Amino acid sequence: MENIYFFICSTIKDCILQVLQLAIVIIPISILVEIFNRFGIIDKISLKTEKITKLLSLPKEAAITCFAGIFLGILSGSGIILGTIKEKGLEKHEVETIFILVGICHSIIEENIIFIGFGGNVLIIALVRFFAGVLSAYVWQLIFIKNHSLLLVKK
Amino acid sequence: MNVFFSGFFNGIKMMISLSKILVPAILIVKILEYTSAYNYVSKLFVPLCDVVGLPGTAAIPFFMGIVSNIYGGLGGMLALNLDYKEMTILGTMIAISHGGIIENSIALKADISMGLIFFVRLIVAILSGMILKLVL
Repeated sequence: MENIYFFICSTIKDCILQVLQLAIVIIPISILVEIFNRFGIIDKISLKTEKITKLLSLPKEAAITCFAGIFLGILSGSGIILGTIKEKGLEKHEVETIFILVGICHSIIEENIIFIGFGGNVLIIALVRFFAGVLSAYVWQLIFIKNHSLLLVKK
Repeated sequence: MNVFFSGFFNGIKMMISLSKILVPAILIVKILEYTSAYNYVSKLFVPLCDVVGLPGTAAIPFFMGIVSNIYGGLGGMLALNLDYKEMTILGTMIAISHGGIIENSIALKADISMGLIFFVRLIVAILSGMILKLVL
């Protein structure tokens, strides 16, 4: 009985902590994004990263989504990721490409610092993660482009 | 000031919609931890460990990383006494495919399949483990 009591307490504590942790990150970031939007900074950033988004055949507005995911992580960057996806109205396979890239390679600063403490070659881990992310996102996007062109040929 | 408040309320809205998905995800992870289902299910991953050149016991931290978060997986990794190469392989695999329930539940909010992202991450983790086994 005491075990179950402990379990319930620790679960509630974890939920509250996780949500609070998110609030600490998401609320300042969403204020920043709003300010950036007002002054047109996001448009300037997305212009500069056109080449990278072109490789994954994403619209250039998706650059900010990818950057938020790669540097902040899925949970902390989810505010920006979900916000821009809803705003720009991306297609389904484009959203999937973004999520594959971000899912494999996210919060590169925070999580690689952990590995310095835990052991293993941090450089190899970080590089493999990054290239695996970009490659698999590229392959995923390739499937859809191929299907698309096949459909065009059949017509 | 107007910008500040609209950003603040956007953040609050995002928080509420995210916590609706996060709280059940945390609950599932906690139940798995409480019933120590790890030890049973991770036996399924033992043959996989041979493929990437790890001892069979490495299945437990890998599975813990997939179910809970990166800290769970790395904590379990420390208990195993792996050498440097195995640490790098297992670390890469956990880094690519962790937080399968909590992190991938965000995908549900973007109206795409959570299972798709989960399996792509798992497959990429195994593939990069195999490549690292050959290269290192």
